[in-house]
Amino acid sequence: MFTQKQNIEEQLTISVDDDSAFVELYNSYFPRVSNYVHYRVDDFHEADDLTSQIFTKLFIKLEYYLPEKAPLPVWIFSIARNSVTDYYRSRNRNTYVFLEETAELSDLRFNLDDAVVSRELRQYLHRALASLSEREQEIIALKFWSGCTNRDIAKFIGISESNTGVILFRAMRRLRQILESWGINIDD
Amino acid sequence: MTEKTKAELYLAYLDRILAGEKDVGPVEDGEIAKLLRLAQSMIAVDISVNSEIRETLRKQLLTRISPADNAILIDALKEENELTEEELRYVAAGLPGQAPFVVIRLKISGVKIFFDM
Repeated sequence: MFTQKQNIEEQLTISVDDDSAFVELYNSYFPRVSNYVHYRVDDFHEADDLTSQIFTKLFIKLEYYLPEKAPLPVWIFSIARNSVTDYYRSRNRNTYVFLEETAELSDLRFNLDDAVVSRELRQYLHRALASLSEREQEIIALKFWSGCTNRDIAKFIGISESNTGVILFRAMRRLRQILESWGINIDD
Repeated sequence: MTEKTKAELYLAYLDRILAGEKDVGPVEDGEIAKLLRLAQSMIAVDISVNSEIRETLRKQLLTRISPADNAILIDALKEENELTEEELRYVAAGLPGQAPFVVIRLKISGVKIFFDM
């Protein structure tokens, strides 16, 4: 019969040997990193590849992570952010979609209650995000998915915290205007 | 209301939504309310659920992870999820007569175990 201590010690061994910490981290961060990358890179497959590369990098660099230097999300999103920057550098491209190029999307009526709304909204959202400046995309992506504080986001971008808030507000306003110009009404 | 004030107000509401609040109550400013609805729609559209790599990548990474990596992750997650006062009281009450000087928080199959040694 196990004593309470033996039982707990055995459970501790199981925990360190199994990959519960990895699974917890993966389940928590995969959606956030993946969404962040998809908000920054409009090609779905390339965004998936990049997410994969980021997680591989995270695990290669894990031994260098110092909790006293930065909280985990700040460290993870620094790597994610640098990877997206490298991606654009290596491709030497920017994916801006100008409003006049999206004429084919105009006059479509969109009902948010529709069952297919997520998929459609995702597509429109992607295109609308690509119309924003790189900095606006970056702030929105970090704000929505990194879980970093406003101060951390401001540090990432290299501007003041209040300026970050104003840029985010303007970017959201613009995003809404773009979606509305395509007939997508979020209030429906 | 100046744009800066509006932005600050919007950010305050947005932080509550991102923290998981479903209903932030009535929002007086019409534009802020509309932009919050847009934010809620964006959060609801979780692009990662359709990711083709999620499971394959998880399996690939699992084969690479070493016990040392796992120990780092345990520490990192512990830093991220500091124990609450209530949890600490639970730990202290769980094993009477021993003063805990190291507390390890573990999750095994979704069950939280608190252990002092």
